[in-house]
Amino acid sequence: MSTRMLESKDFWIGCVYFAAGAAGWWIAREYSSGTAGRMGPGYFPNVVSFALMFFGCASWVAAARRDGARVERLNLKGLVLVAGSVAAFAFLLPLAGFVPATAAMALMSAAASAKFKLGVLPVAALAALIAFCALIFIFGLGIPMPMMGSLFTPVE
Amino acid sequence: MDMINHLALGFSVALSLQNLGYCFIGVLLGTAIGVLPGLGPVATIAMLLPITFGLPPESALIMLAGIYYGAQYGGSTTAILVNLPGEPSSVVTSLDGHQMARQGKAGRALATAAIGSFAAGSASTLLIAMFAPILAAVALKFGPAEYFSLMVLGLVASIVMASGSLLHALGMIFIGLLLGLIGTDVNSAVPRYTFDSPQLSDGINFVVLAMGVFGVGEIVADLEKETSRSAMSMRITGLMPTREDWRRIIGPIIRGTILGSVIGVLPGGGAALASFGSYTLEKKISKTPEEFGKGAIEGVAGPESANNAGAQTSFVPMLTLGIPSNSVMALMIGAMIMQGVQPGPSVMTTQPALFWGLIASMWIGNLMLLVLNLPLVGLWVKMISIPYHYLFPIIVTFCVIGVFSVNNSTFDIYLMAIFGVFGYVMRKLDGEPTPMLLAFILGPMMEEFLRRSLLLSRGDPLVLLSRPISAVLLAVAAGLLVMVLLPNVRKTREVAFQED
Repeated sequence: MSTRMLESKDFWIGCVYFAAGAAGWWIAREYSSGTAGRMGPGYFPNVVSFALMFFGCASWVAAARRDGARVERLNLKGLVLVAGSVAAFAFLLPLAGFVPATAAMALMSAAASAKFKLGVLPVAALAALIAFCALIFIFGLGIPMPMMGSLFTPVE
Repeated sequence: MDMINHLALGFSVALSLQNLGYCFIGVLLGTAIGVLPGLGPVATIAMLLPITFGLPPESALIMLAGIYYGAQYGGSTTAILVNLPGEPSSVVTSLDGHQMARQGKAGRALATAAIGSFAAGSASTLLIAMFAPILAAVALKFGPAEYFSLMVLGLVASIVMASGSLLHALGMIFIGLLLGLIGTDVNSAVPRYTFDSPQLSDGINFVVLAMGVFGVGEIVADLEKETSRSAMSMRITGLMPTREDWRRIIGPIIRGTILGSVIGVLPGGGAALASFGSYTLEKKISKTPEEFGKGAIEGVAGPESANNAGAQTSFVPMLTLGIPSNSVMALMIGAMIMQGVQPGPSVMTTQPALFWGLIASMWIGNLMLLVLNLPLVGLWVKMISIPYHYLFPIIVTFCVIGVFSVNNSTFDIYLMAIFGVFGYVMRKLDGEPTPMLLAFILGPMMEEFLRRSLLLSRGDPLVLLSRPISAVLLAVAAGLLVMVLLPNVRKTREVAFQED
């Protein structure tokens, strides 16, 4: 396999298709297929999975045949920080509550930007954001998120 | 006159104090978020969706529609003032609109956009009122085979809309179908792809997928091109077009409206294609084509009318057939299903108040846009100048709260983070999210209709071709696929998407 292959977008997206199709087919082994006239739960998943594996192979062929677009560098820092901040919110919400979870998420995701610097203005903006969201979503719309989580409630 | 009665019913619903209020809030919020660079209608609607959950169906849809055309209009404002189109449909507007702004004619460009949108909105509302009942009457004859073929057509149409290669649009469609299979099978109650997780047994909510891909994934992609942008600090004066301007914009508005209305109804059409088509048309018939790209007012009036007309008429296939023609309509379908309304031909007969109320509200919403936006332009300029590194943590926060509110579960937030990573990686590999989202929504319905039609035909797949309407739909789908493959059309498509 040439390096050109490994740099090709077609090759990598083909891997995604094939992996998704193979996983879909492997898991769907347990579902009964039935017949076309009386389809079981496994019929449609099998069709979709095989189609995906086919598209995976077709992408590999395309990668080998055409000089397609090359893979660009991933913004790994941005990806980890932004997606991570979302996961951190989900983790912190029941434990620490809405206020600390939002603060952690906003600061963590903001760090993904090269231009972000901590200062008085960003902290004030963060406080305003938390107050605004709490007012609209928790008090106004009644979304059941605890303001402060179980960590901060005294044990009786 | 059925049409008059229908519209009267519609206006009586849309003009209720409550619905007027929701329409107003929708238009205002939609514009406010739509002006922010990088946020198109899809992200705006996905973010604001949770606010509509508690509302009655009519109000929720009226508000969502308001958010849609508000966001679209906001996108045009940004395109004119800072040359940063937030979505494909306003790319064309920025060509001449921004040039006008640089020549000190920003006010007139904005006014032209608003007037064009309003005129187009009014005309297309009437068109919908005339043609929607006819389409719905045809659709009532549909059996499962026809529905299946119609959805195939919808998916194929989304390929035509996608900018990348045919292979990858197809691949993304099947990824969407696979994701749509997650959850309990309705016929056999067998849990599929749930990994024994109770949270997955009801399937993945489309809001989670949409917010992950269009929210988190898009933010990471936008952070790469984060550059310092200077908002226009100029004062905006001279809002009213001159008499000369009026003379020049009337023709483009009329032509743009007609073109946009037709393109909007076609599955896979919608605002982006409409505005591009109108710009090309105006440039072709203009006596001074050399002015285009240098601040020709026709280049703002035509595309802006066309994209608004297209945005409105794209509701027709969604409301009468239950088929989304673009990702905004896919979100609308999801919202309707959450409200307990199954989109399809029966909506018009079983829920006339909802159907006609929504149509009437579109006209009212456009009027609000016209009245509201010109005085508020100063506020929009301020919003545009918020730096992105302040903006995106706020967007992330809204997305997360929105996703949580769907099921009140943190599991969905984790899923959203995962789909964010997935969406970003696929974007980097030229896999487009829109066909995937469409297939995700249509997939479960397609499986159901396919099962039913093959059950009725005892497993004979030819049933899809022996029923005339179904055969025609499949033939159109095949025709579209062939069209995409033709070198000529391929070239135009490449040009159309070049500036994305």
